[in-house]
Amino acid sequence: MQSAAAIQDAVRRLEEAAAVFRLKSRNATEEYGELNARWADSRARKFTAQHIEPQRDWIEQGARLCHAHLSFAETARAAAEEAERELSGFFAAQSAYESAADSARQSARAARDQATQAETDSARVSAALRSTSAAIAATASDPGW
Amino acid sequence: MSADPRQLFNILEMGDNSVREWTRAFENASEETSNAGRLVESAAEELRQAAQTHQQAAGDMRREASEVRSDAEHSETAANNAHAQTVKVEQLAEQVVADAYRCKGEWEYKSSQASAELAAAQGELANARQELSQARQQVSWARDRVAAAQAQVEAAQVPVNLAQAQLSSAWSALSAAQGRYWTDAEGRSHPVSTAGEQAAVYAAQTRYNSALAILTEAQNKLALARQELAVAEAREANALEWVARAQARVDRAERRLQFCQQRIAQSADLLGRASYQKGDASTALRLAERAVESAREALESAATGIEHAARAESHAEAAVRLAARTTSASESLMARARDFAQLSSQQTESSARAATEFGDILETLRSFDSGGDL
Repeated sequence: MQSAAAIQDAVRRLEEAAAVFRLKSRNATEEYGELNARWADSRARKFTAQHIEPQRDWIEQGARLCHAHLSFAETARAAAEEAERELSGFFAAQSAYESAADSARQSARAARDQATQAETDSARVSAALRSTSAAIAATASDPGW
Repeated sequence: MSADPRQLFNILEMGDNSVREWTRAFENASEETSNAGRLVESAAEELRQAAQTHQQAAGDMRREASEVRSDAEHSETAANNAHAQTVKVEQLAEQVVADAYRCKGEWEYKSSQASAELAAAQGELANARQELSQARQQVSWARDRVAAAQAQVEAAQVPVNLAQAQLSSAWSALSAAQGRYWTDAEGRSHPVSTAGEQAAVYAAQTRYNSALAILTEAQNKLALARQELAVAEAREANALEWVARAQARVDRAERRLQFCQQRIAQSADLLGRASYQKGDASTALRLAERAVESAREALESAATGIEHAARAESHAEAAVRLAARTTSASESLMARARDFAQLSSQQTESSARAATEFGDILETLRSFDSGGDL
């Protein structure tokens, strides 16, 4: 999983874009101010009202949106990082589970095999013991003198 | 304001460039933001899918862990049953070994009794044989005495016969004499005197009596000797019976001892077999104990597996929640990116309009050497 890294890369690009936006918007604002200062006739006022003022508003909105972008992207990055940590925890738990499950299966299989063998052996020994016991009973019987 | 048209041209051209450059910057920022937003969106989607996949895997893991635990429980049941069975078999083996040991001990005790009996029987047989020997000696002696007495009787019989013949002759002579008469002168008949004959009879009778007394004494001795022989023979017969009984006792004791020894050998063999089988039972019990231990380990591992599976599920659920948070943040980001793009689009449109207007003004300015109120 590289989601957090990808988002981190996106955050970096957003930061760069925001920085460029801030720089360029600052330059544009300054140049618009200089234009406004040096071009101050009625048409300039009309031009400013018609074209420049809306752009100033968009610059402010854009700046807020850039901030919001970074905020949401940072939120996404933090959540993704945390999610990836959880997934790492999942993988660790999964690995531990598989190890434990394998061990459990192996032990259970061994237990069954051993139990089966023990039952088989004890059944065989039991039959042999009963035969021996009968032979002992026969041997113990005393016909007398 | 009035300005030099050339100067104004430069100002407006700078403004036009500024708007264009800013617009390009805005568009670049918007495009970069959209790209970054899509990247975040893609990563969030990938994360969401991965989290959901792992959540499903965790659910499968939980179910599998339950199956593993069930399997371990079954193996525990099998191991416990095997253990219970092997414990019973080992108890049976201990009982059989004890029975075999007791059986062997009893036969060893009986064998010692049989040995003692054999010794006693052999002692009795020796005594009986000694008695028989003595009885036979006594019979031999008695027979000798009977033979001697018989000889004495036979020897005594001859004088008796002779004396009896003489006595008979004397009696005949006496009878003959008693029938004779002599006639005296007077013509009377007178018996002849038999004094001589009577004396002869008396003498013969005396000899006969004497011989008969000797014979009677010899016969008495013979009878006594025969009685002694009978007693001796009876003793011999008793001794023979005793020997036979003692021999039978010895034979019986020998058979009993041999039987006991066979039973001791059989018991020892059975004891060996039982001990060997007890070893097998102990081996089976140890195997069952290992099975119980393996089952316990399986249960512990299964419990551990369940804990890990639960932990994995918890992690996966948390990952799903966090992925959802990532998705939500990416959606918000994309929404803002769209807003940003909308602003950029507005900026582009505005820029185009401004550029048109700038172009018109600049075109106008190119037509004049100096600018007035434009």
